[in-house]
Formats: sequence, structure tokens, C-alpha cells
Amino acid sequence: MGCEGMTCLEAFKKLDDYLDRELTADEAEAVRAHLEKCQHCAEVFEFDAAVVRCLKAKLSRIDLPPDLMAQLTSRLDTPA
Amino acid sequence: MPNGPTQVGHRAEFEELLGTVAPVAYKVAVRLARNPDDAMDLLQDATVQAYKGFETFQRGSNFRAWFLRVLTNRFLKSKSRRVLETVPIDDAEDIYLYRKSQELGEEGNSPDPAGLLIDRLDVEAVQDALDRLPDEFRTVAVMYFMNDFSYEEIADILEIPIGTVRSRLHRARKLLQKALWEVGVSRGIVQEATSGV
Ligand SMILES: [Zn+2]
Repeated sequence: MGCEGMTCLEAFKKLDDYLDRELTADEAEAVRAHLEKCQHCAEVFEFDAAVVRCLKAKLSRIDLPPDLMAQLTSRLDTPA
Repeated sequence: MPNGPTQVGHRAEFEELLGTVAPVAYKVAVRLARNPDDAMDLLQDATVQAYKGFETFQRGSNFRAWFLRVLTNRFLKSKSRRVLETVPIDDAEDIYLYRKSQELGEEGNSPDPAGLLIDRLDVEAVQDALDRLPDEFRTVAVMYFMNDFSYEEIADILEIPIGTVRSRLHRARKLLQKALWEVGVSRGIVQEATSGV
């Protein structure tokens, strides 16, 4: 990496992985440094992070049937 | 099959492992199959299949990934599932929703257009958007948004390289943003910004 740090394009390509904490410590630090000085990338990042947060909250909320295990194991006793 | 001590132990071991994965497997099944009834059918079917193939499960490896692989494969093979019109793959640009929301914000003076759109979409609408993703992106997205799996475990479940998970997920997010916008428009929650020109 050059002494000027990341370009917007380089940072942009890594935003998803940054959000998911799937970058190495050095890569994550480079993205963080870019977001600190680049308002546009920081806005896009905040936006995408908010979208992912909302979607995870909505899609992971599912009520479980109280007799879930019974419904599964009973099927093992039913001849096909 | 005789119900000897080996079978009894085998069954008990399977049920114990199944108990640890059943809740998350049910949730994945609901997002794949769309509704609780079909999800239960899918999960029961996967349970029977997994039990039949239980001797191929390597003891000490990740049962959750193994079981969800069986479930996902059953889902992909199921003939009954609806084929919906999917979002064209080449048609999802980066920052789609961001740009759309900027346009909306300029017209509507909303402080948080992203939250506004997604908060106003109910779970069913979000599920509709998810269903518009082609299968290879949809399966990755379902696991990801369940918020329970690392890239590595998704790779293990779907038997694809981790780099493929990363690229599919990146694409899936863009496709989903476009699909969310379209669902929002079709339900009258957001309107296409009128061109300022
Ligand atoms: Zn930038």
C-alpha cells in the first residue's frame, strides 16, 4: 500500500467485508483510515450498514413452533 | 430394521445433534420455503434424508453445516417450489439503493431514507425481494441475513470456496437492494423520483 492510503475504489470494494469483519487487521485499518477522511465513502458505508442491520433484524425474527423436535422425530418413525 | 442397541444409540445420537440445529434449520427453511407449512415439510424431509445418511456424517465435524447442506440440497431439488421472476443479474449497480434514496431524500426531505424504506417494508415484502434473487445468490443471502453464520460456515454448507461466498454475497446485496426498491415501488411505499430535468 502506498503512503497515500487507499483510493475510493479500493475502499469501496472492501466495504462489505469491512462491515462483516472479514478483513485482516491491516486491511480493516486501511479502510477505517479512508472512511475517516472521505465523507462520501463514509456515507455509503453508513447507508449499507443500516440496510444490512435492518434486513438482518427483519429476516432473522422467526417464531419457532413449540413442538418442533416432536414434529421432526415423529417423521423418523413413519415408514416412507 | 431390528431395534437393537446399536440402532437405539444411533437414533439417540442423531436426535441429540438434531436438537442443537433444529431451531436455526427451521429459520433457514422458512426463508427458503417462504411459509411455515412448506418450511416444516422441507425440514421434515431433510431430517429423514439426514437420518438415512447419518453413517456418512464424520463424527466430530460440523453437524450443523452437514445438516444444512442436506436441507439446502433438498430445497434446490424440490420440484414444487415456485419459479419467480428474478432480478436480472447485470442490472444491479453498486450503491443502487443509496442513489435512489438520495433522490428520494432530495424530494422528500427525509433524514434517513434507507431506514424509512426498509422500516416501512414488512417482513413479507422483504421476503418477496429475497425471493427475486436467483438461487445461487438467494441461498447465500438467506444464510447471511440469518446473522448466524460466518463466510466460512456458509462456504462449508454450500460446498463452495470462501471467495465464491464473498463474491456471491456482494452481488446478492446489490441485487437485493434493487429488488427491495422495486417491491417498495410496487407496494406504493416509495415512488420513483420525478426527473428534475
Ligand atoms: Zn472514498
